[in-house]
Amino acid sequence: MIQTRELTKHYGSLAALNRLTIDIGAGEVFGFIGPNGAGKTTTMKILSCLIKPDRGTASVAGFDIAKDADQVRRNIGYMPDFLGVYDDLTVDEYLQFFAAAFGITRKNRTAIIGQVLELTDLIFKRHELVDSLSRGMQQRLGVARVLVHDPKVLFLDEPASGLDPRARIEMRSLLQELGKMGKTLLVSSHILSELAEMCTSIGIIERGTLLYSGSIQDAYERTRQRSESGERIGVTLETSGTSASLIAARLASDERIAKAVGDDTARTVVIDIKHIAAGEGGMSHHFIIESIIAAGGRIASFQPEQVRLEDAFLKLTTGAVQ
Amino acid sequence: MSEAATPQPASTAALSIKRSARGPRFVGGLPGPVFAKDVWILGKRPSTGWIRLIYSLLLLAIVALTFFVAMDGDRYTPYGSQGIAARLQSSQGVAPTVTIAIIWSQFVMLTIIGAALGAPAISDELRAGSLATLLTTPLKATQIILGKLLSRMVELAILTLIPLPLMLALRSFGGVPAPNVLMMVGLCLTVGMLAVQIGIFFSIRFKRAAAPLVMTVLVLALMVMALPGILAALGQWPALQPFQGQLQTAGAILSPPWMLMMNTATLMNEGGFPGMGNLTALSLASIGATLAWWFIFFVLSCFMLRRVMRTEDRVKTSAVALQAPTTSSSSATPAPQATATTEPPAPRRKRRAWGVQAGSSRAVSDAPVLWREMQQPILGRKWMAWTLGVIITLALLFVYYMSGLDGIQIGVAIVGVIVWLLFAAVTTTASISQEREGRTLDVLLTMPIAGRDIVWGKFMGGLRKLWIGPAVILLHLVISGCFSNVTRFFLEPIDTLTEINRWRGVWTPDYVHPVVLILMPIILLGPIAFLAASGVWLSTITKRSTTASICNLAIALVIWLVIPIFLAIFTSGFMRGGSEELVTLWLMPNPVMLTASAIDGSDESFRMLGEGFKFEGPEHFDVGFLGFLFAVCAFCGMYLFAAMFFLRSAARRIAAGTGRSA
Ligand SMILES: Nc1ncnc2c1ncn2[C@@H]1O[C@H](COP(=O)(O)OP(=O)(O)OP(=O)(O)O)[C@@H](O)[C@H]1O
Ligand SMILES: [Mg+2]
Repeated sequence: MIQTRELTKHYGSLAALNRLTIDIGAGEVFGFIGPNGAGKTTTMKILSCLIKPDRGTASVAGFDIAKDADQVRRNIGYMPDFLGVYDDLTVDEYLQFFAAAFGITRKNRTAIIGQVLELTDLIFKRHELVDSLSRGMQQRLGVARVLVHDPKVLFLDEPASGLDPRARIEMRSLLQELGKMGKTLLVSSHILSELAEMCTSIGIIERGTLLYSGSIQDAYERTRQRSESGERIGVTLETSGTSASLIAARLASDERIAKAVGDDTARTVVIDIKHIAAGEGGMSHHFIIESIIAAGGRIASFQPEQVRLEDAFLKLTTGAVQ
Repeated sequence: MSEAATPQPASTAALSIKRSARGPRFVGGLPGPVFAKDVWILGKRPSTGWIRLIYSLLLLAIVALTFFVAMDGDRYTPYGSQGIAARLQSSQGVAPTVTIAIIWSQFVMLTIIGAALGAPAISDELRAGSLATLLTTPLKATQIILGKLLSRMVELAILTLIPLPLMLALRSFGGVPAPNVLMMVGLCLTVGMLAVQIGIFFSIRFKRAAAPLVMTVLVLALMVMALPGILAALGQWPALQPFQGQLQTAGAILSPPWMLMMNTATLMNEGGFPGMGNLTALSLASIGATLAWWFIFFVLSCFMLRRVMRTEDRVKTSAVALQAPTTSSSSATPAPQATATTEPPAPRRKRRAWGVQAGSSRAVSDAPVLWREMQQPILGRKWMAWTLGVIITLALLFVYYMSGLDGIQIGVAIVGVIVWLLFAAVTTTASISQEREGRTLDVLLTMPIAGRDIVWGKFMGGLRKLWIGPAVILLHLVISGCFSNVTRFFLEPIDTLTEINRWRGVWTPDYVHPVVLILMPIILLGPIAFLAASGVWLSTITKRSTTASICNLAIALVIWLVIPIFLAIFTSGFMRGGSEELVTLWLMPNPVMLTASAIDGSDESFRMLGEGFKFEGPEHFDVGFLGFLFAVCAFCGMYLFAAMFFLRSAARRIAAGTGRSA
């Protein structure tokens, strides 16, 4: 659905994009991740035909961005990172404005606008002035706006920025829903965990260069292989059993475990598994439980910590550029 | 704040740290960081450099021309060709002439530039969202306003100083009394300062810079022209006759241009204004009066800004109250009430102009850009439109009453035309840059709309806002026409001729013929459309709407004022004995001259609708009504053609880079 080949964009001597090549299939939800100034917005602007690349080609929904810009525009919805709204219109008028821009007839508009407002949970604000909406609502209105003409491809530039935690979750489920509707999404963010749940694949970009592109599972796997320790498990013990320090000592002797630290007062043991052990199947925790029980410990809770997404992100980004 | 008074060394240290952290300070730390920041930003802005350059070039051109003409003119005086000594003696007139040319150009330019510098001062920050940040600092409203003002005064001071070397050089040509020059420069600078302040005042309430700019120019014009006029006119009132002198003096003091004129007359050795007293004292009083006006607007600005601060405060505190619970309870189970806390504070319901109710939505037409432009209020708020309407009506009635309508039609119409051309020059200059500044342009450009649809929408929206000026001018012509005709026919002693003429339906001099009502719209349509189009075009080029406004004003000034003046100077200088038809030819499509010709022509002789119409200028071209009508239509077409050209270029500029059709 989206294909770029060697897209390059320079601002003066600064390479905002350096030979970017990605393929995003139809129906994919592609998370586009990178630190500030990585080139995410630049990519989206090029793909929405707002700026021209210096070199390289790209096609969106089967149309070349250089030759068929108007067709591209009809098939995409672009939500910029900084959302400007017309402060003199109501929500309904605002959406009508863009529906009209896409040539949707007046008869159909009401129904369509009703639907997108329903989807974005803004129906109760339909006749309020856009200016009076809160930031989160304006963000949702931005999503509603890109849906008005039912495009196949959506470019959403940091749709969750500036939202409170609850609104973030709502935004995430909204995007998941869009993915289910069969739209192709390109969503940018600096926060990997935000995208983890809803993306089918991600691309990591830094300083204009694509470092990684593929499934999110692969990304974890790669980080795991790069990191020295594999998984970390936190165990809390009941008071009646063996003390934490004893159990830690017992576990540390196991060759599959890299390190085990016990804390008697808090009654916790933190266990780092070597990643060879974690490697196959990922979740071979049973031997730990067995050895704790064998040592006479009574497990109150057992919590494997996931590889922290931010760690993965940091490792993948700074790792490859240097 | 004296350090000696604080006994503990620790607090002294803290105090000095605090002081050094404050950044550059002025006496008493008044202007502070805003001043420093704005001086820095203004200095860095490319448009500042351009303004300085254009300003210097214009001054230089004016000086060169005046100088040339003044010297050249001497050749034709009776004793002009009598050798060097005589010429040098006669060229003593050159210094005052050139000085005056400089000062008057300075006056006009400093006022406009001052308004242009002040008008975006606060609205820029508001739009960029940095005003809220500024308001969270412990800075006081007075400090912010003063910082804004002084940083712009630095710019004005630089511009004032630019011609100083020239003026000093002129002294070698002989006597220009220094006090006069100082007074005049002082007047220019204080009026510039007042313009900045009024600009700042209006910029607090507007999101866009164009509206404050126009308001500033209008208010200034009202203050320096209408007020003295009213005072002078009041002097004619029988009851106030005894105070006529004082009223006139007061009027002169309140009007810096008047004061400049009096100084000019003195410099040109045409004698002062007897009975008005010492000119220097009067000039000083005028400067004082301008400063008083400045102070009034300064206080008003601080007051307004403080009000804005207070509302900002309310928004901020409610935002903080809103954030606290959601962040702390993010991991807790979302209770049903939590939804209530995430709701934003009750939305400020904005008053819509022209009674469009919030709570209902209008249907958008199929040409959305055009539709939205058509929905925009013509004059911001409703009360503003009403106030302006009332002021205009009162002013007109006052003028009619005072003048008894003798020869007033042309004057009022011309003032109306000039004011409206000013309006037209700035109305559309924000159209694209405003979308850019409001961050809505990107979204608009991802729409499959052709460039010409966007441009056309902006252009028509601008034109729609501009219909009201011509309407007022027409209204004036209708009222004053009826008024004068009725008084002539019924109230004046009817001599036989008038009696006969009345029955024959023939109009005698000083009457306004209805045919003007047909001519005027055609005359005005062209230039207004032209300026609206060039405004849209400029807004696709410049980043800031203020720059576009100034450029568009410059276009208007150059076409309709500067070029004719230059032509006049050159033709009188170089082609003496030759024809001055070139000037007249260039002045023909000039809307002001056309207005004068139209009213004058319809007024003079209407027997056959065939005589009386002539083009004004150094030479007269008699054309008659049909010829005039044809010419007016042709000029209108010419302007519209140029407008189309600008619009197409603008559409192409928008289309370029986004791969759309123009
Ligand atoms: N108009 C411009 N002129 C000059 N440089 C620019 C321009 N737009 C972007 N850049 C530069 O290009 C680089 C990429 O910017 P871009 O906006 O694409 O980053 P981003 O990944 O979207 O960052 P963020 O996460 O902060 O939004 C940055 O270094 C930026 O400074
Ligand atoms: Mg970005």
